Amino acid sequence: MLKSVITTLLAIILFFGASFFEQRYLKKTFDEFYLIIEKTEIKLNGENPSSEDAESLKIFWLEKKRGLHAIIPHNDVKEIDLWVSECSAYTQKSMYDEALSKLEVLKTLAVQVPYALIFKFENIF
Amino acid sequence: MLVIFVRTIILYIVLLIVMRLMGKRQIGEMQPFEFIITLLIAELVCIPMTDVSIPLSYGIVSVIAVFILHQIMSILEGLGDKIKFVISGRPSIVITPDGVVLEELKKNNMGVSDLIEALRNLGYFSFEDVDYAIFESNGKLSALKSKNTSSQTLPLLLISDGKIQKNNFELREVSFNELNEKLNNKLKKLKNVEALTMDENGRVYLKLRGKKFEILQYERGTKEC
Repeated sequence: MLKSVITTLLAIILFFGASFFEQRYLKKTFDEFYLIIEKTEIKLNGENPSSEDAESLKIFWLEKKRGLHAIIPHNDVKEIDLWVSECSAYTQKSMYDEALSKLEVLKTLAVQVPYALIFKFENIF
Repeated sequence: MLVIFVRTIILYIVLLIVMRLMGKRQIGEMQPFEFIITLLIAELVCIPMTDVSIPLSYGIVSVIAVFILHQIMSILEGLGDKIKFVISGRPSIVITPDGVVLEELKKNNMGVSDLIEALRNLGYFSFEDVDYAIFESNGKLSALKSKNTSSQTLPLLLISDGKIQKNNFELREVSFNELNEKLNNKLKKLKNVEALTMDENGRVYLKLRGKKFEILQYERGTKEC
C-alpha cells in the first residue's frame, strides 16, 4: 500500500513537473518566434529591405523545431516549415510584399500552435 | 501534456461509469477499472506507434496517465468495501436454494439464458445442479454444487422471464398449451414465470416469481404431472 502511494505520488509530481516545463518551454519559444517575425516584418516594411532579412527567422526556426517535434504535432511543425521557407524564398527574390503576407500567416501560427496545447477548457473538450 | 492528461482522465472516468452501468456481462476475469485499462492501453500505444505525425510523447503521457489512474483506483479500493463496491461493483447472488433470482440478473443486464450459458461453462447443465451461483464483480460465475444432483440429460430453457423460447419448445416437441395444461395451469400468468426448463426425460424446473423453485415431471399423453 505504502509503495503504491509513493509510486503514485512520485509519478504525479514528475508528471506535473514535466508539464510545467513543457508549458514554459512552449510559451518561451513561441514568444521569441513571434518577436523575430515582428522584427523581420519591420525590416521588410522599412526603406531598405534586403534579401537576407528573413535569414534570422529561418535560422531560429531550424534551431528550435527539433525540440518542438517532441511536444507539438509534426504536422504543425511541417506547416510552419513551409511558411518559413516560402517567406525566405520570396525575400531572397526581393518579392517583399509576398514575403510580408507569409509573415502574417506565421504570426497567426505562432499564436495558435502553442495555444492548442495550453491547459484550457476549449482544448480539453 | 496537461491537456492530454486531463482528457485521458475524463475518458477513463466516463468509460468506468459506462462499464459499471453495462453490468458484469461485459467484463471477463478482470475488475472494471482493469478492463478499461486493457482496452485503453492498446489504443493509446498503437496510435503514436503507427502514426508518425503524432509525437511519441503523446502516447507516453497517456500511458503514464492511465498508470496513475490505475494506482489511484487500487489505493481507493484498498481503503474500504464501500469505495470498492462503487468502483468494481459487488458480487450478485443469482441462484439461491429458492431458485433463480431474476432481479439480480436484471441488475447486471443479463437474462436467464445468459445464466444457463455461464453455468454450462462451469459444467452444470441444470439449475437444480447448484445450490448457489454468484456473479463475481469481475464477471465470472462461481457456483456451489447441490447435494441433490439432477438428471444426466440436457435441460432446455423453455420460458425465460415470461418469454417463450419457441425453438426450444419445438426441440422438446411440446406446445405451451399442452405443457400449461399438464402443469395444472401454473403457467397461466406467463409474466410470473421467471424460468422454466425441461430435460429430455420431461423433468421440469419451474421458478415462479416470489416462490421457491419446483421440480415437476411432464409426461406425454397423460393429464397428470
